Amino acid sequence: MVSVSRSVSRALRLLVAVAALAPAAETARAQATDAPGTLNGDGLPGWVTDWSPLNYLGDLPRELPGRSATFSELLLMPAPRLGVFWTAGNPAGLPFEVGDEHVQFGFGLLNASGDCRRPLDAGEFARRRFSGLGWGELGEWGGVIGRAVVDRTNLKEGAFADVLLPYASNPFIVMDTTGDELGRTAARLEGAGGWRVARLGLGLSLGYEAAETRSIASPVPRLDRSSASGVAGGVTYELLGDGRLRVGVAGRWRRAVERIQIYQAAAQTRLYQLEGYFEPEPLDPGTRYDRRLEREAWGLDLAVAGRALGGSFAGFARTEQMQEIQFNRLYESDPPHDRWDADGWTVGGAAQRPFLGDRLLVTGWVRYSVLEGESQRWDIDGVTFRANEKSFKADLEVRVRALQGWEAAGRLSLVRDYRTRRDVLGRTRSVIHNWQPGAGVEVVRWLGSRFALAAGALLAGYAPSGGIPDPVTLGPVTQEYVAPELALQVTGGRTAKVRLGARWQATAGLAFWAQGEYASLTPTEGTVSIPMEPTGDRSSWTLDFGALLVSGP
Amino acid sequence: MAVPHQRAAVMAVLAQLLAGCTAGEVELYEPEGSGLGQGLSVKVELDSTAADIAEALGWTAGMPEAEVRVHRLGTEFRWDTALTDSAGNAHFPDLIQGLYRLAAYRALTDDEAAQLGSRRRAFGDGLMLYVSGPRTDTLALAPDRRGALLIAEQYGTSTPVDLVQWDYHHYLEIYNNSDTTIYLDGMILGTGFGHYWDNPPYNACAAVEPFRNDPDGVWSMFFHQFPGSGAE
Repeated sequence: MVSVSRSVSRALRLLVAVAALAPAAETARAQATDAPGTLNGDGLPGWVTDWSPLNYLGDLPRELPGRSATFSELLLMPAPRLGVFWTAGNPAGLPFEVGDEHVQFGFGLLNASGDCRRPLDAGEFARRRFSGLGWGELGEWGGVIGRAVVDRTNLKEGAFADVLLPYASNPFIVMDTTGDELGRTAARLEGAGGWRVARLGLGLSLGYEAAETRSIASPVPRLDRSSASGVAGGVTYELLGDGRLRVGVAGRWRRAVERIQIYQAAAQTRLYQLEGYFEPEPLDPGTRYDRRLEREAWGLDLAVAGRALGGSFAGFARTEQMQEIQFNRLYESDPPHDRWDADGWTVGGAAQRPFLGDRLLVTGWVRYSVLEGESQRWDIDGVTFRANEKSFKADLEVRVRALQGWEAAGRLSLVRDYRTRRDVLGRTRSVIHNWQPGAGVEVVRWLGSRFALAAGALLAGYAPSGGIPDPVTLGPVTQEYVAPELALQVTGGRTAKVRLGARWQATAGLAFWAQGEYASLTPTEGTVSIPMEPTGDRSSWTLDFGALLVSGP
Repeated sequence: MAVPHQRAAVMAVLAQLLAGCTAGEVELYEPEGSGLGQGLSVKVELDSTAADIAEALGWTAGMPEAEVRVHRLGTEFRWDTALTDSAGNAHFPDLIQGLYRLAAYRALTDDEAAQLGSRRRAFGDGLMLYVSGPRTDTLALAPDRRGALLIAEQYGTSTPVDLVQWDYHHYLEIYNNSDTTIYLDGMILGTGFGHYWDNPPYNACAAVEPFRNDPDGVWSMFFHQFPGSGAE
């Protein structure tokens, strides 16, 4: 009875923790709470977010250089975990892999500004966020994890994009020339639970996200309402007991809907439905413009995890499919629609091994994604745009633990992107590949058993090559709103990030923390002069603080 | 002494990181040969009712220097234009698939008018066509005619039935293309079934079919008649 009571109590604490909206600087990877145009939006390490049922399927959004280079989160996060759940996102792995309880709440500020940006990134980006994250065992045979995020974002100075994600693989983008300030409120709730019966594990994860983006004050009011739902269900089986070999299979589904409304109330705007590199027709929609986006994606995973050679490993393979339709005639039963179809697959793996007892922990991750997509306009037979995109990412982390009050982590990362995007209608293409090496270090110094200071620095480079359409051969709208992004993609750059943090262990199970981070992106001058290449820098900073419901060092 | 070596190694790695991150080979692509664009060739000639004019001006093989325009429906109203060559041929090499308006126009120059007794003449024709592949069309431009009432533009022919729609402002742009007065008295204007609101999902095809195919007359949602008895 005592054991059951403690389990229930723990479960209640976790659920309360998850349901309360509150921590850290993590950025959800779904559409509404994403922060395109910033440099340090992703504050959580990948192993904490890879399980999300709201993660993109069949999409490889383009990010600003250096954004994917992240810290190890030494001050807040436990040592990286890997397995069928943590690496492949199969919720059936939770009861086997969840480990110690971890709950954190936080409030965060994020601000980004600067000229080195893409045309559809807002010049200034400011976000306030409450969030909560927690995981732990549920009874003797279960495990749960959950996250809740609520944020408010202001997009200022040239917020031309009328869609949430203007740099997805899909070339169909709605924009207009108003650019007045937008305010976005987004909420996200997601969780996963897994149970095991002997060697069999079953799991389910669910996620929901909603956002509303509105003009703050504009003669051309704009409104974007969106929602996304995701679900993943899986099964695992322990082929060799005690975690020596576990295999799993999972299916996942994600659907997102976005509705755009633009009113020419007191002024006129020019609307464009961008579709790649082909010059779009300017649209003058009269008093009101409507467009609806419906995105549906599926995935199927196979995963394996186990222990060998004194360490642990995990790997997975996933097929992904995504279909998106966009249409303007909202009240017809089968409206003519533009369509984007993408197929892809991802393989990934992770390995971890302690050295020198448990003083040194080495963890490595690799992930390789391939995507092929085609678009069709509603009024034209045949494919109008093709994308063939590949992305490889590898990280290596070395943690040194509990060395006379010092903890440290070094991290090396390497990203290799290869994107070919061909506009059949516009009769041109871009072929862009880049290397993004990065290196970072974090140090935590415990002053006694209750107070710790943390500092970190990170440097990431961006070395592209390839080809883009000659801007002078593009139409005027494409030159203004598309070509500068292509120029930025083929311009070298470097990103630097520094962070400082502190943690106070108030009681054995409660700690408070604060952390600030500054990041800057600077284009580098190469030997090649690229038309419309970016000028200036872009910087962003975050300030986060919150509470941790975990034990001290 | 080991520390400086380690520091130097770290600095070397960072320097390498920075040095390697400039743009490599970047090529600027010119447009490729063919996309989904389709070619439209247009042959422009004079209508057979003006064969004498064609004979007199030497245009029997085709009308030179006629202005040919195409506009893709559903897009901003902006013509693509081309002039015919000496054989009356114009070519639009790269139209994307869709429904187009095609029109051609030609007015006589002073010299040409002088050959026809100094009378100003103009010729025109147009049609709608669907471009889904390379195609050739012929426009036979009809000469101007005297004596017609020309409705050049029309906006709104319905009667306002509620306060929601902005249907109150109606206008017609008309020309008197004759050399005498034309009276509008008693003239009836109506809009036939053809607008989208006449069709599904607003009205089923079967529901409006009897009106479309009525051999006894023309049906319209609204008819408007000018007042007057004949010469007012």
